[in-house]
Amino acid sequence: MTTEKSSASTQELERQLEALQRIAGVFGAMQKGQDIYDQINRQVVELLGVEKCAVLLYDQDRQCLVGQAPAVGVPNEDIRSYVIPLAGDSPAKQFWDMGQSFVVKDIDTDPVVQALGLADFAHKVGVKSTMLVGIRLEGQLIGVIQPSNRRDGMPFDETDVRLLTIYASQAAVAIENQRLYQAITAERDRLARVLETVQELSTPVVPVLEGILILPLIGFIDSDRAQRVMEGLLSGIVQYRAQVVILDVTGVPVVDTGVADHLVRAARAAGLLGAQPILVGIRPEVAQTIVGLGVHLHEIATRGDLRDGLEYALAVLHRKIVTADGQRVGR
Amino acid sequence: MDIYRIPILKIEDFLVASIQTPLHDAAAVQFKDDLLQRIYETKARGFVLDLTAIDVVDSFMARIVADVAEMAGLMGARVVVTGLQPAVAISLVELGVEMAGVTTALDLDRGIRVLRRLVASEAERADG
Repeated sequence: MTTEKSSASTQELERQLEALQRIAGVFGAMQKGQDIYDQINRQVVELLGVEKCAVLLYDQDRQCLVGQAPAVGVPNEDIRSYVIPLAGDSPAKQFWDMGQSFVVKDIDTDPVVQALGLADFAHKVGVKSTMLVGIRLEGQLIGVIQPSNRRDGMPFDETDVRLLTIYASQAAVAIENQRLYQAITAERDRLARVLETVQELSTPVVPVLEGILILPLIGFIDSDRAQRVMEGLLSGIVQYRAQVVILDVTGVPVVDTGVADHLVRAARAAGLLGAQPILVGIRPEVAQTIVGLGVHLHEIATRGDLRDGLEYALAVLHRKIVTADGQRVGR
Repeated sequence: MDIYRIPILKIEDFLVASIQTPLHDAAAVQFKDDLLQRIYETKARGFVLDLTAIDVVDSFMARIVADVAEMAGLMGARVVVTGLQPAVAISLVELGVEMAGVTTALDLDRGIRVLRRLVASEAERADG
């Protein structure tokens, strides 16, 4: 009798030890791309030998636990509608507040399940016995893991609770990692979109009058941006069939040899497409730098400001701005 | 071996040729000879060289174009190069071969107009 008993308890210990080893192993095997809840559920089904398993997360605003899709053994639409209220008068609140695990041996006779009105839902998804164990992250409960229906038909026991508690503490880290990963991915995507917008904004090509393009350049110009400016300028010339392009550098704070060189190249390339380049908006300090650096901009027409540049452009095209009765407008 | 010859067409007072494939030594020399001969025969006042179909212009090709323009100029015909692709323009500038002294225009239509203007201004100068 004693031998039988000790052999049984040895077997039980071995089962627990094996389960612990598996818990230690499974998180290493978590795959980043796959759904975290699906992986957790499948591992619990394996570990405890149960038919169904679901993860519920705590919703701060609604004060309730909400089922997360996908679950094992429960259809997605059902699990999404699965809510355990935890507000003030809810019978489940005390378990949540105490951080206790909660075991239901039989759905039909359990007073808490009846009081929560969840018996119908349990029947619908075929749950006979179940248990809930908290997922704790840094001392804070963030949700529960809920396996249901042991395959051997037995109710959940202490061992199941202990194993699942250990598992849940590991799962908490995995869930948090997943959350952080998603947050970072979302942030990265947002930054990529912002960068794209900035790049678009950094090379505007404005077709101001027929045959005349204006390129208002604002901010620092590095070689990457200079390349995009040149491409934008040339495709703008082709698109709008421009004959004159005005490069406005009023907003460029620093013009060094590199920038000057890029401007000259852009101007020459524009010339090869048959468009005359005009450089406007060179500020006094920029003029000093350009001359001081020994950069020669002789081959590009320069004008003081955008207005003069535009008038010059019109002159190149043998056009001028006049008032309705033919009076000349301008300086 | 037959040398590929580029067709040179006459329209009004001008000649038009379109280069469709990269030119190599023999074809380039042939093109130069043909063109100068045609200018001599037709007494053309101008010539439009269309490079719309060319994706890559190397320094050799740029040289040829500049040479042809200069030679035609000596014979009294102005040359306008048209249809340079933006990528070609960028690579020419990067290479530092800008076909100095060659007038350029966006496309054939613009090229003819530029040519008319050039010829007209020359005629004006001659009158004055």
